Parts: sequence; structure tokens; C-alpha cells
Amino acid sequence: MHLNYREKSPENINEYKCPSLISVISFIVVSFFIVSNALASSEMNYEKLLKDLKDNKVLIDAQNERIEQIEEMIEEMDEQVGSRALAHAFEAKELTVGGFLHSTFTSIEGEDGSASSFNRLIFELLVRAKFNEDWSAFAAQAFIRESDDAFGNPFNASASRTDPAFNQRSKAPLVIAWVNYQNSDLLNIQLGRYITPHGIINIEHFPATLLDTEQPLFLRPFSGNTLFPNFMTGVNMHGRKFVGTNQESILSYNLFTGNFAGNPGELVTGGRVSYEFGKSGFTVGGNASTGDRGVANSDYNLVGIDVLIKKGKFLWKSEVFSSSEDFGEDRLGWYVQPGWHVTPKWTIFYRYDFLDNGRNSDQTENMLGINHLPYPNIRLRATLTAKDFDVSTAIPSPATDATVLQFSGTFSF
Amino acid sequence: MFNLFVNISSKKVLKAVAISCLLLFSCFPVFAGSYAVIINADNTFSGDKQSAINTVKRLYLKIQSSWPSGSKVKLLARKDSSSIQKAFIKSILGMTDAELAAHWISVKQKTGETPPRSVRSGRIVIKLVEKNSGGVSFIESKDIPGLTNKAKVLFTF
Repeated sequence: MHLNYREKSPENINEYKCPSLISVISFIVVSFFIVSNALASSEMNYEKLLKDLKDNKVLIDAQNERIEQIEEMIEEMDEQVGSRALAHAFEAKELTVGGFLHSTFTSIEGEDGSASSFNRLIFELLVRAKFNEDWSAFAAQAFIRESDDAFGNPFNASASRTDPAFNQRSKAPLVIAWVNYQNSDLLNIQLGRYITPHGIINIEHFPATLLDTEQPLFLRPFSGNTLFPNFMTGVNMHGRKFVGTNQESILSYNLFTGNFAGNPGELVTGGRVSYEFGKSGFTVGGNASTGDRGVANSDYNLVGIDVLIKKGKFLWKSEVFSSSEDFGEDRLGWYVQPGWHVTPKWTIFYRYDFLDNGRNSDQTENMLGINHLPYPNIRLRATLTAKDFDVSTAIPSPATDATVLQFSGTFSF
Repeated sequence: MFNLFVNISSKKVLKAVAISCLLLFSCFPVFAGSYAVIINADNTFSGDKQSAINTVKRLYLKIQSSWPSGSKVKLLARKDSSSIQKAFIKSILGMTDAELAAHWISVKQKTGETPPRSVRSGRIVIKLVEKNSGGVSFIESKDIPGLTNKAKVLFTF
């Protein structure tokens, strides 16, 4: 009992308290570890949750972006289609329709008189159908209301050169209609009515891309055959090969045979080879063809060279064609046409143009022009041309001069 | 005093370096190296970067219609207003907007061909290139990780 009393006496109280302190400290330490582990664990969980949240946010943002894009696409489609009927091609995989409207005003100051007229209005529809990867078709149907400047037509013997006037005619020619089989870039075969692959401007052909209000003398009249036919109906084999360093240069060729509309009985056969020298902007072409003018013993052989330079703001086109004729005199036509793109919307150019049409009737033109493109598909032009006619056996008028002012606009769609 | 001088100098140096870096980076086009031309993985086109650029340019302008291997091209452009399309026109085609517009007017009227179809979404572009053996288009570099083994990068610009 005494001992028990002593054990519990204040003097020995430490003996009783020590185990309790250790327990408390152990409890605190253990608790600390447990709490700190728990805290660390919750922190890790928190970081993981945060990372997951961020990842989800990125995904949601991406999805929202896609939804916005799809909504915009639907809006665009709805604006384009709306409640209108959709057009379907019978068989074509793709059908593309376009065209242009072209109008010209001409004022001529002759030696004994003058004349002015809104003398040309052309509406042309262009349609392309793609049948499959290899076969396609292209057609250009024109509706033309045209009044030629009478003295400009060397085949119109009744025209007075000193007192100009305008003819009047309307026509709706099928300008182009071909089907093309493409075996590869090197081999294409075109069948139908196509632009005669000669020179530069005849191939460019469409007014939407031309600087001038009138094509060069040797390409007039439209659809004519002054030196070579503007258009042919037949077969045209064509292609191109990419050659030289890094395949930067292009070698192109055409081989054709067919009929000129005004001479269905005789074939015209010819070809063209051109070479584009890499990035120099320099292209040179060689042309040759042989055919018949449509009257007895009127075979001809034609050769021509053309040079095109497109370098920065500078543009140069020139062509020369010469024919050897069995009927009548040999013919010669050539021009040089330098141009300068003052700004992307403004271009100025000059052309010197010469034609000897084989009837002792030389013509020259000096044309100064300006083009304005307020939009890429709208081309407005103004040209001032000084014409000079030599005396002619075919047109019994004296040598004379005339000044021609022209305005034209081409609106493509 | 020395410490103060050192502190001021360090701050000035840091500021100068930061401004220099900003100026330096602002001198480079924003899109330099930011975009990639991609093709289908089955495409066997081989050649250096310049040759690839020339080929892609001709394909885009429809001067060339098939790959050297003979497979027909399916080229996809991007939306006209997008920075990637503008960068492509400037860096790869090397043309101004006016020159490109003139090119398409000419092509449309001579053959009826139209410009390549444009696609807005990089993800859809990748899917279409993966699906077509002759497929080719261009995407932003950040979309490159989204390529599967069915498409590959031809070059970056």
C-alpha cells in the first residue's frame, strides 16, 4: 500500500507522466505523417484534376471551333443555295458554267467623214463538263450583235476608206466545242471545234484576258482565215513536259488537223512547239501549218514565231507569220506589243501592227491603250489607234489614214 | 552604390535583350516555317525541296494534272481569307492576288477549269489527303501531330 502510495506521490509523478508524453508525441508524429500524406495525396489529386480539366478545356475549345466552322459552312451553303433548286448534270461528274459580256464603243475619224457606234456586244456562255478523271468537254456559245468598221475589213471591197461606216450583223456562233481525253500531261487528244493553236493572242483569244480592243490585223476578221483560221474543226493532239533544273521549264506541243468552217472540203494540218524558260518569264513558240484557202489551186504553207515575256510589271508579246501562197501574193503579218503593269489595277500598252494580206493592201496600226481592272473579273479599256492604208488593187480607194478611238469593257462571271 | 549600379545595369541589359529579341522576331514573316505541305503516304514523289515546290505550284495552278508517278492530283486549297492560304500564295506560288486572279480568269475561259476547292478545317484537309492517293494540301504546323501514317509532310514553308 505504501509503495502504491509512493508510486502515486507527487515526487514520482514523472514516472507516471513520461509514458503519456511519449504517446502524445508519437500520436502527433503519426498524425502529422498521416495528415501530411493525406495532404500530399490530395494535392496530387488536385493537380491531376487540374490537368484533366485543362485537357478537357482544350478538347472543348477544339470542338467549339469545329462547331463554329461547321455553322459557318452551313450558313455559306444556305446563302448560296437557300430554297433554290439545285442543278444536276445528266451524266457529268462536274459541271461548270461561266461566261462573259463584252461591249465596245468605236469612234472613227476618217479623211472625208466620221462615224461612231456602240458597235459590238457579245454575250458568251462557257460550259465545262467533266465526265470522269480522263474525259471532259468544253463549249463556248456566243451571241453577237456586231457592226464592223467597214474600212477595217479588207475583204469588203465596197467600203469607202475615206468615209467610214459600220456594217450590221447578228450571229450566234458556236465558238468552241471540244471533248478532251487526257492520258497524261504529255498526251491529250482534243476532238471538235477548237482554237487554232498558233501564236499567243489567238490562243488567249477571250477578251477577258486581252489588253486590246481589237485583235491584231492578221487575226481579223473574227473567225476569218487571213493568215490562218482562227478556229478549226478536227483533232488536236497536245501536251506538255516539265524539263530542266528542278523541272522549272515547260515544253509544250500541239499537232492538229481539221477544217476551216469556210472550207469544209480541204484539211488544214499543222503544229506548234513552245518552250517556257523556267522562271525567266520568257516563252518562245514556233508554228507551222499547211492548207487550202478554199478556191482552186490555193494551197498555202505558213510559218510563224512568237515571243512572250512576262517579267514583273513588264509584258511583251510579239508574233510574226508568213505564208507562201499558190493563189495570189504571199502574206505577212506581225506585231510587237510591249506593256507595263503600272499597278495591279492599271496597265498601259502600245502595239505596232502590220499586215500584208496578199492583195497589195498593206495596213499598219499604231495602238496606244490603257486597261483598268477595278475587280479581277472586270476589264475596262481605252485605245487610240492610228490606221494607215496603202493603195490596193482589191480595194480601189486611195492611200488614207484614220484615227480610231475605242472603249470596251469585259465582264466575266 | 556598386550593387545599385549592377542592379540597374542588369535590368537595362535584360530590357535591351528583350526589346532586341522582339525586334528580331518581328523582322521575320509570321508564317516562316509555320506551315506544311502534306501528301498521301502512298505518294512516291521524290526530289529536293525546290523541285517539290515547283511541282506543287504547277499542280495548284492546274498547269500539271498528275504526279510524276501518273496518279491524278486531288489538291485542296484553304479559305481565301485564311493566313495559311495567303502564305501559300506568297511563298509557294510567288504571285500577287491580282496575278493569281488573272491566271484563273484565263484558265476558266480557255478550258473551263476552276481553282482548287478550298477547305476551312485543317482536320478535314488531313482526312481528305489521307483518303486520296493523289491528295495534296497544306496545314498549319500545329496540326502536324494530327497526321496518321496515311499522310506525310512533303515540305514546310
